[in-house]
Amino acid sequence: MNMITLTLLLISLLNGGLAALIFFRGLKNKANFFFFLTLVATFFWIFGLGMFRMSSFENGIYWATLFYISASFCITYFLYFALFFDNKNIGKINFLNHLLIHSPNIITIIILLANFHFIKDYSLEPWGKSIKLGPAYFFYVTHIVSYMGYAIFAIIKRFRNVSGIEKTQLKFIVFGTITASIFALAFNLFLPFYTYQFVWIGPYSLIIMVVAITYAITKHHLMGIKTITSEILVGLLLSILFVNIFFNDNNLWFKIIIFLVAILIGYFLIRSVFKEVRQREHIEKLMKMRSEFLDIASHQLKTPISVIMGTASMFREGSIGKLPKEQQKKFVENIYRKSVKLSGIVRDILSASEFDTEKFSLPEGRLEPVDLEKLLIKIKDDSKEEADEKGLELNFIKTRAKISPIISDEFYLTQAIANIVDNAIKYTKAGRIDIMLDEDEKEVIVKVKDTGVGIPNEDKSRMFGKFERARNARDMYTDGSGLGLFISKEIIDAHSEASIKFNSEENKGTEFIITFQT
Amino acid sequence: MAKILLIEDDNDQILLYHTVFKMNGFNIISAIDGKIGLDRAKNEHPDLIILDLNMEEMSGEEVIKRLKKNPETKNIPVIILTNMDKRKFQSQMLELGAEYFWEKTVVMPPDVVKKVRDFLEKNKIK
Repeated sequence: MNMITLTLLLISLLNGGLAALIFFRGLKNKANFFFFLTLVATFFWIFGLGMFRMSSFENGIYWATLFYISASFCITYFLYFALFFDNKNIGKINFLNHLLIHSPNIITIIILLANFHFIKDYSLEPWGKSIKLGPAYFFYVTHIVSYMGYAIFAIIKRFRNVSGIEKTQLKFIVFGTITASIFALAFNLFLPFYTYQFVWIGPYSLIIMVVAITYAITKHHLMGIKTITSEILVGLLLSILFVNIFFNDNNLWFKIIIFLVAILIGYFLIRSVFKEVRQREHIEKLMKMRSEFLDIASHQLKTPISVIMGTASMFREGSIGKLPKEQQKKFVENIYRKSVKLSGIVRDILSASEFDTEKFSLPEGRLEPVDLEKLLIKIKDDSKEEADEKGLELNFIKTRAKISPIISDEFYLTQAIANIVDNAIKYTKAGRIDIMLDEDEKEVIVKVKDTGVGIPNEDKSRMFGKFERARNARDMYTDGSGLGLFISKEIIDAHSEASIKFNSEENKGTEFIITFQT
Repeated sequence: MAKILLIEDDNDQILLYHTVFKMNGFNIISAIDGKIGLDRAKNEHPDLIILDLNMEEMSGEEVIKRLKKNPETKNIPVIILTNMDKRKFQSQMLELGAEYFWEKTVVMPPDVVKKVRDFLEKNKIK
């Protein structure tokens, strides 16, 4: 085996390694998934090329068949990658489209296996095995060039539309991928028309791609140096063992077994390092969320405190004492109202802090079948006084005699639904609030419907966010904390197979719908 | 007496500062959000603007940027009076052209009046 062949095998392994890296990192989206497939196909392509050079003359033709087919798939997946990379919302590609996109691959396989004017002549030249290509190769070239061209077009289009850190990261990836593609086109696709001697140069350009991507990853600390180091070590070890297999034929099986064992150990090693890195990233994210929460919470707390302190300071200084009694009363009233608000915010913040760090889960030991009818009637009774004061009608309506109990925690579930009923009362000036309970074959449904101010369209998407309040809600009732719906959603989402949503029209009313699958 | 424009989106705060400034003989006008504040700054030519930062319609940061960009309003001194954290926002606001950064829970209304009076005297604004 000479240096060129050895290098080809190493490059194929490098591609395999990069594919594994992306696989372990998680195939988060379709672009990632197809980039992974591209790398796998590339691995087979270069590996085939290396084996083509190394194998006996008789076997060479089979390896050639492998690398031509692999390269065809490689370009196809690269096109997929580019399309998803450019537009994540490309939608579902149906089977027929997949078949259409794959049709050049299928044709390539058929013409290669049927030996239909693709490989015209196969001979042994002084510099190695040589292939003369037939007319069917033109079809192959057309496929590769058109797919590659379109893919590069899509990538560049996307690249021009991004900015900031994403652009810096992409710069290396785009540069590496495009350089590699152009080299591969030149040396593996066009030059073989004249001579087959330099077909090995194309894959070398893939080193540029791998280096560029690795650089992009390390430079921007996408994974941390620890992971990279362990990957490089494992990669090095595997490369040595892999090359060793081909050096001489002694103990071939033994070497293969050692190689496979090393892959296994490497896999577990990298996986454990990944796990650690993920945990660290998770903790960092939690810390960030916590500090954001504290920022907003402290501002929310200071707002009423500043009015209370400011008013008190004026009393102390004596200036309010000079005002008429009626005006003085107004200031006392302000202090009282802001104190009430403050206590509400403190209650909500304490309660929301349970939910602020990670996905909330219900306390498992306390889960039990909950009778929703009893729970809703209790909420209704608790809210009756408030509704009466505003002259609102508050009803509980049950449409079925028997409702299945749901598995939940009574304390949290009460909190979740009571928040919604509270809001309904708070934001309804006149009319009624209906708390409805129903069940169909699949689910138990709780609805809270009011004739209130409704949620403006522009605010709908953020209503379940932390400290979020609708525009008209702020105008109407300035003292809400914006945490109620957030808490309700967290609690409902913590149930298995439960959901909360709402329909609302401004100035007409809002209907919250909570469903629990039975 | 000097005319002061208070841009503040909380009615209770507005009442508080109106009372204390009026009792001390100032002419105070107010705006309930940033947009109205910008209009009043242009039309009423106040001698000083007291600006809150955290406002829903238009943030105080945006208001001061626009005030300082407009030749009609760029020379009106702006004082930030807010509940936002001084350590985090003061230097940014001073860079944008604010004179001072006061936290509402630190500088009480009577002190705000006193400091405003000192500032106006120092800068010879009637």
